Formats: sequence, structure tokens, C-alpha cells
Amino acid sequence: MTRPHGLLRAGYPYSTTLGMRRVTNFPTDIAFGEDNVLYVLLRSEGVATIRIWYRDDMEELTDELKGFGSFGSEDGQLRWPVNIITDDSGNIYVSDEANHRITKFDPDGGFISKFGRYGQGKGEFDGPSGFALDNNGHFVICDSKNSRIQRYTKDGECIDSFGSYGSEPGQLNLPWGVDCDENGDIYVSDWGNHRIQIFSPDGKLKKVVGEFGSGDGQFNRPTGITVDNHGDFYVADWGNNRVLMYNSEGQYIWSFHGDATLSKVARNYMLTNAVPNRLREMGKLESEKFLRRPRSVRIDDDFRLYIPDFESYRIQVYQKDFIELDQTQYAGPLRNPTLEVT
Amino acid sequence: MGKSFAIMAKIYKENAMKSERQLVAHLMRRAGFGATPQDLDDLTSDKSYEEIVDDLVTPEKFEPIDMSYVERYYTGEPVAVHVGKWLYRMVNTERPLEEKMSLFLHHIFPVAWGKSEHGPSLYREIEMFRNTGLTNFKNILLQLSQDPAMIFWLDNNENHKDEINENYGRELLELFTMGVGNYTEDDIKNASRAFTGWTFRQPLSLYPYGHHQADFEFIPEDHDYDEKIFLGHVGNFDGEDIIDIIVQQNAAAKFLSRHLYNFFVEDEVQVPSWETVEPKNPQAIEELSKAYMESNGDMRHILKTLFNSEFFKNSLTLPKVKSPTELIVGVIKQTGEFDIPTPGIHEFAVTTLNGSAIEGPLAIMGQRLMNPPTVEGWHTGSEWIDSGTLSERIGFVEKQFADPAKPGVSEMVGRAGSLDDNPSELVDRCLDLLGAVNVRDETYQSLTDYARELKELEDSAGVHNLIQMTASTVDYQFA
Repeated sequence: MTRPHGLLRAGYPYSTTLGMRRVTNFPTDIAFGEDNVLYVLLRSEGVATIRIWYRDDMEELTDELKGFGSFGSEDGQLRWPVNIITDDSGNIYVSDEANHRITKFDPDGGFISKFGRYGQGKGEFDGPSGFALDNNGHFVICDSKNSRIQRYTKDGECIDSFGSYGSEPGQLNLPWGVDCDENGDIYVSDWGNHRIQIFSPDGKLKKVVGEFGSGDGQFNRPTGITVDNHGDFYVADWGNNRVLMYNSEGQYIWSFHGDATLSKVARNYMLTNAVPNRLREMGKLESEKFLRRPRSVRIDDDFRLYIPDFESYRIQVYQKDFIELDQTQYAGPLRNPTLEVT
Repeated sequence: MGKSFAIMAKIYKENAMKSERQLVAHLMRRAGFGATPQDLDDLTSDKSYEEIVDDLVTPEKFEPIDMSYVERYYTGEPVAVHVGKWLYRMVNTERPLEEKMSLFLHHIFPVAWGKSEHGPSLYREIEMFRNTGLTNFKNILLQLSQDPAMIFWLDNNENHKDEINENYGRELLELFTMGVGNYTEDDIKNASRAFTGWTFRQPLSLYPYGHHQADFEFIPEDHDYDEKIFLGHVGNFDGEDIIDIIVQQNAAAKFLSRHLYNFFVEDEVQVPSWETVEPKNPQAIEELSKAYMESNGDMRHILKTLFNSEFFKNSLTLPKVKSPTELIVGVIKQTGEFDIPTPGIHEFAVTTLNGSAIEGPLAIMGQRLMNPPTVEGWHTGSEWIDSGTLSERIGFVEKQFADPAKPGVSEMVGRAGSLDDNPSELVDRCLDLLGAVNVRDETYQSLTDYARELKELEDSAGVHNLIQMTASTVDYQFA
């Protein structure tokens, strides 16, 4: 896939909200399956499971709930899962920073295999958190407490790694999220240093984006990160309760603070529960729409942006609205800003 | 004082100590949750006792716990998860008195999750205790009176100008500030009138998208602005005026002083008996009350007076049973198993009251944090102990010290010495490593006898056994 020459950015409207309490509690990440399926990774103390949900939500809370995975250390179990991703064959992979491993499930949730063990050596983990597949089909994994990025084959063989603990450019402090673009460049949310670092496929630092703060383009504990097919990237800014969007040049261009409305399943629930409905009428309803402690952000092939809204038990969805441009439709980059009227 | 003290003094006399180890250990158990051997090394070599007290009452000198780091790992809605995070703070904070005062205020101003099941209000209340515990008594009472968890717990949300609810006004005087005998029924009525309109804005419901916090709200049209007579004062008082009058009372000074004495110095009888039973140490209560009155209820001044007093320094052997929280936090601080966020800390706090299938150790020992049994809070001292809770306490300690690979246990085994050493000296070192524990003579004798019996074992296993046995003594159950 090649990037378009440019974009006419029409906007980034809110689309819908999915899930509610009891069915999508503490969604820490989300992955895309076949046939409208979403795999929602749920994590809280003593609970770790994957809820099978749908892009068009569900009608009733009482509909049959599907999912797999449970809390524990046995094969197929999870304790502190962080990320969930799928591959082209529909297999599902989950990182687990307490069990120090990656677990592989088939599309139906059956356990297939696992790799990784605790340690500081090659092929070992101390708190693997975010991970992604690169353009060669290799895993790129944040080995968080070892302050490094490790690359693995899909069979779990360690290929190489880079990174060390610190706050200098190129160094890492408890990195949380990672994603790769189509060129193999590696985007790391450097949680402890409140910044994003972009590395070339061989681990050389290309760019540092952001700093600590709550202003435009600043971070307070960045968590999940994802790159779309235009080279735009999105960062869950956990401490500021928002998601920030950057263009492929690393310039901040947009933020998402939350616009939630009642999901389909929540709407039906509230229609049959009079008391909570009355309490909504007495409360400050506006506060309900905002994101709370997002830990991830994902975008699908149709440019629908999914934000697992961790402390609000739901997923907020936005739709990127754009027109891809060729070179006749879009001027090259300007070195200098201008005040000329155009 | 047990035999161990003299021998330990000998062990450490050649070192250039700025403060006396056993006294510092005593201070850290009472003002905090105990100390590791390394903590005691550092404190006694670097600072005088008075400097350590200064540090304790001035927590701003030290970095707070980075809660983003804690909440990166510990997440969830159940109360036990939030208690777990509090336990983590108690174990790892560099500001131990801040957490100890949060616990103290939770003891004397108890609110239980069970009535509202609104977790965020409870967690914010503990945060409020953390932020106000070392300010002054007036500020504490004012924040308490505007705290949604307390307002709901004692029904002040139902206290309207045309329909008074006296629950908060009554408990404010009876249980929270002065005690029975220092006010009249009319004072209760007028205090309650002054708090009309002090309520909170309705938070959004738990369904469909999770809890939202509740915020204090004053509703002027629901407040009784008419004249009131309270403790002999006349005026158009509101809640803050009532608190102003309360905190100037000698009865309030004595009441708070007795609470502090009971929590930090020596087990007293339970609060309902205070009306008829004299304090165990009236002179100490007088000293603390004087510190209260001369500082307008400044908690730092009062606590500094307490910890620097002779009665505190001499309280090493006075009965002071560790609360379940003090015991559990003290143990896991020493074993070092939660120095970084690790799964499982919330399991200490699970309880069937919060929807768990099982009772965790805190519950079995009788202290469900954030779920005190009544508005009186927990009965403390010897009432913590019965055959069931004592068995649970000792079993808990034995279990937590059972794994020699735990970092704190491993360090103790490494520092304790060898089974070939003189048994008394080996026992002395074990007592010291466990926080300069003071033991009765008969316990000391039993431990030295046990040390002799262990000589047949492999060295580190035997030393580990001795440490585990020392921690499992009844003496270890005292603060």
C-alpha cells in the first residue's frame, strides 16, 4: 500500500459508541476479526478475558455473550494483558506483562501456543506490553521493564533488539505501546518519558515527538499508539484523557476528547431501568461523553478509529473523512508559513 | 523491656549512630508501618531522633508515590482493588505518616462502602484524609463535613431546612469531636440546622458507563439562615461556624488527644466508655491537649509533641496491638514482595461484603478497610484478638515469611549470620532485622532454645526458620 500524495482532510466526526458496563468492562485494547467481529481485551485486577463484540454493537445486555480467555497463568490464561492483535490468517495474539509472554489463539479463541519467559536476556521479557506486526510479519514488542524493543519471528524466535533505559533521545523508560508503518518504521510511546520516538527498522532513532504537559501535542503518560495507511499516527494520552493525532511529519493536528452517546446495548438497557435513567436526569450529563484513561487506539482498513474508553467500559468510534489527492491536486510542502490570502 | 535491648545496644554501639535503633524502630512502627533493616541503618546513621520526627511531620520533603505508575498496573472497580492500591502506598511511601494519618482518620471518621456502594466517593474521602491529615483539626472537620461519602453515610443529604435530619450533627459532637456529656440535645439540633443545605450533586449512575464522582454542593434555598444557639454562642451560624466553635473547646482538644494516644501510644478502652473511664495516662492527654490549644489544632505540632514526648519514648513496652492493616502492611514491607506493582496485592483485601467469593486476611482479622462495621469504627486493642483472629494473624505471618526467595526475606537471611554463632546473638540479629522487635523474656528464651535446636540444619535454611519463627511470635503482633 502506498500513501497518497496528499489528503483533503474533511474532518474526523464522531461515529458511534459500542458496549457498556458488564459486557465491555475496562477495555484495554481492541483487535479486528472477520465478519464484523471485534475482539475486546478486558483487564482489571483478577479479571482478564477477551470479549467477542460486533462493529454494530449488540441489541440487549441479555444476548448471549461470547468470549475466551480467563485470569491465570496456565496455557491460554492471562493475568495482566496489554495488547491484542490479529494476523492475516485471523489468529489472535495477546501480550501479558505479568506472565511475561505472548499467547496465540485461533480465531475461535482456542489456545495454540505461547512464547516468552521472565528475564533480562535475549528472548526474555520483563513486562511485555505493546506489540505489533511489522511489514515482514515479525513481532515488534515493547519489553517494557527491560527498556527495549525486541523483534521476534511469528514462531517466537528472538531476532534482535534495541533500546536502553534512560531519558536521552533513543532511550526508553517503561515504553508502553508500539506500532509499525508500511516502511517498517517503529513508533514507540515512551510512557515514562512522555514522548513518542520513531525508529527506523534497524533501531536508529529518526524522530522524537512531544514532551510532558497537557497542551497541544504534549503528553502525560502516552499509552497505545497506532499508525494509519496515510502515515497519520494516533496516541492514547492516558493522563490527559484524550487521543492525539499527528500527521506523517510528526506534527500535531487533532485531538479526541470523547463524544460518547448511548450505545445500542446501553440504550436498550436504560429503557428498561427507570432509576438510573432518573439519576441521569439529576446529574451533569455532559461529563459522560469524555474519554477516561484510554490505553489504546486502533484504526481499521476503512479508517474507522476505535478508542477503548478504559474507565467508561465502552469503545468510542470516529470516522476519518478525507479525499486522497494526487500531485496535481496538492501543492508540495512549504518551507515557510505564509499570511498571503489564498 | 526484654533482654534483647541490652544485647542489641552492644551490637551497635561501635557504630556511629545518630539515633538509637530500637527507639527509631518503635517510632517507625507507630508513625508508619515499620522499617526494613536497611531503612533502620540509614535512619539511625544519618539522623537524630528529632530530625526523623521532623521528617515524618513534614512529608513535603519527600516525593509522593507516582500514582500513574501504580495505576498503570492496578486497575478495576471492586473496593478490594482500591484498598490494594492503598496498601501499596502504605508499603512504599516515603511519607509514612501521611498514610498513617489517612488510616487514623478512617478509624475515627469511619464510612463504609456498603451503604452506598459508590466507590469513587470512598476513594476520594481517603485522598481527602491524606491531604488534610497533617493540616489542622478545623480544616479536617470542614472537609469532612463537605465530603459526599460522609454526607451520604450520615444522611446530611436528607437534612433540609424544613425537615431537619440530626444524624450528622449528633455524630459530629458525640463520636467525632467531643463525646457525650459536653453538649446538649439542643446543641445537636442547632448544629444540624447549621448544616442544612450541605449536600452533593447527584452523580451519574453506575450504568451504563461506570461510576462518576460526586461533588459537594451547597443549596442556599435549603439552608436555615435563622439564629441558632450553640454551646452558649448565639448567631446565624452555618456549618463552618459550628466547626469554628467546636474546635475551640477544651473537650475537643481532649477528645482528639485521647484518640491520638489510643492510635499511636497505647491501647485505650473503646470510645463509648470514655465518658466513664479515665484515660490511662491523663498527663499525656493534658500535654497533647495543651499542644492542641496553643496551636489551634495544628496536627503537625500536636504529632511532633506526641512523638518527641517522654511518654511516647517510654511506650515501647506498653500494650499496643497492631491493627490488621498495620500487621499486613508491616509484613509485606519487610518481605519486599510488593516493592513494585505485582499481581495479587488486592487479594489481602477481598471480602464477601464487596462481592468476593472469599474473605481475605484483612477481613478474617477483622478489618475490612473502607467497610468499617459501624459509625463507631473498629474496636481496637485487645478487641482485635480472639482465638480465630490470632490464629489467622500468626498463620499469615508464617506464610508470608515462608518463601526465602522473597527479596526482604532473602536479605534478612543473608544478614542474620550463621547457626554457628552464639544463639543469643543470632536471635538478637533476627529481632533487629524484623524491625528491632521487643520481646518478653520467655519469648527470648524460647527463641534462643530454638536456635540451638536448628544447628543440625543447613545454615541458611536454619536461619530462615529462625526468622520465620521470630516473626510468628505473639510479641510480633504488638506495634
